[in-house]
Amino acid sequence: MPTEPTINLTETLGEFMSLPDVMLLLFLLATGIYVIYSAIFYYHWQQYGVNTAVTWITFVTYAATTLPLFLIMAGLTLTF
Amino acid sequence: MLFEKIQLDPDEKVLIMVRKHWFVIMAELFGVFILVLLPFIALIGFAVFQGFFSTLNFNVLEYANVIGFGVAAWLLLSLLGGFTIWTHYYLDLWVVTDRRIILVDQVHFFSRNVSVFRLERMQDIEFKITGIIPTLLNFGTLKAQTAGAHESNFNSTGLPDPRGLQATIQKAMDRRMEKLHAMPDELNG
Repeated sequence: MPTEPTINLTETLGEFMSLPDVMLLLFLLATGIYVIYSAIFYYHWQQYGVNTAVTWITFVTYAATTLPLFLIMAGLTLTF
Repeated sequence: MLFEKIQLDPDEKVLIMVRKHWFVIMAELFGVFILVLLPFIALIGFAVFQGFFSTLNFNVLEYANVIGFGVAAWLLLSLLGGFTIWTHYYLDLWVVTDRRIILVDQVHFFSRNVSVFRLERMQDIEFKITGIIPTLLNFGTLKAQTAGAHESNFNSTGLPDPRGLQATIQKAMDRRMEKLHAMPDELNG
């Protein structure tokens, strides 16, 4: 009888790193990218923006859309 | 802000300020919208082909945290891409004043060209509207030649109402030339 194929991430990754460690590593990487991008956006909008209202709306939209996603990622990383 | 850096003359008037046509940014943001939809399409795929995944003994619920993290990370990166497109759109700018044309071209985050063309040095201005969508939505390319080096010519694509913009620049050039003929000292000022 052929054995059924199985997918087990924990076992596969276990040879190198535990799943929580991988998730923490990915989270730190994502945090780095997010922080760098946020700083670049802030600098450009602040320095080269023409309309204060548009710049302000852009800041608020950026925070309102990306921050919740970042917090979800942080929360999920902590639950591992 | 930008105008503090450009430092317009005290009596210099801004005639028009133009960004690329909304269709240009919408077309680019549509790609981001598709990217945002992808994880949800994948999740629907998981649900539809649940039978296949159960034969692999792969329990989706067991990895709900990993999948949630992956979806959030994907959405975050897609949004960063979307805001990058917006930033390039927002910071690319044409400013026509009664003395000059200022072209701000945000090529990349760390590559920004700001060119200034004095109206009295402008020569031919031509616009081109090519294609069905640009014709329907009235956007196109504006090309101008200046009296001077070939490198000082400019060519901007995706500008809204290029015909109107050409007319505005032409009028401003004529007024500037009249003023300079009346007061030639201004050329040196």
